[in-house]
Amino acid sequence: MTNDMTGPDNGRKPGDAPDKEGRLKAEEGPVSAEIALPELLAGLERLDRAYDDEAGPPPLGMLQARLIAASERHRRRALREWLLFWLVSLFILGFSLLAITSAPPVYWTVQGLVPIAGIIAAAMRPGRKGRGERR
Amino acid sequence: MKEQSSMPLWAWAVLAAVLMTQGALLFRDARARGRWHWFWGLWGMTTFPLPTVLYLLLVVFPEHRRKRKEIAEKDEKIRK
Repeated sequence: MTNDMTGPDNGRKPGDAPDKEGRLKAEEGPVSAEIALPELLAGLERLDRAYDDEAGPPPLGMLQARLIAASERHRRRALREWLLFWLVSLFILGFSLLAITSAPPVYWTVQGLVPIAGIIAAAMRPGRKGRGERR
Repeated sequence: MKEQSSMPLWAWAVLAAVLMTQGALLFRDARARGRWHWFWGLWGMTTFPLPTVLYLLLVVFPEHRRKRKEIAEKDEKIRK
């Protein structure tokens, strides 16, 4: 037995209540979509305008200026570190030469202690996993 | 003050130049590798050639070996 959908009641049985809500929904659907779509588009346009400056890529000139500034900062820091190294080095070199001429045991003791201290420091340092490095 | 060393002055100058060169090179290379540049540089200023030998043994050769191994592994992956 098949349902006849062509009759005046669209195949509904006599005891069935008419589907008012369903019909209303079907009628409201396109109308609400028509109202909501321009609102959505307007909202998206507002969002685009609000985040236009932040979301868009910065101009090339600004990027270039940033790169130049970063490079200059890095160069200055390296130069400062280099100068500090030479300053400290000259002191250490002077003391080393002084020690090797006037107190060789002290010099050789220091020379023995430095690699031992380095090895101890390297052993106490956390490994790759501890530092969060991955290969 | 009596001179305690029998080394001539030129030998001291050469020694100082060698130490400065060694320390500067170690500092620069270790900084480029990010491996304790202050330690290697300053130790390189005090004696010769132990810092260079140990730097080569502990830093340069292991890194070189590791890089070669990584390249070989990548190469093997690409071949597969």
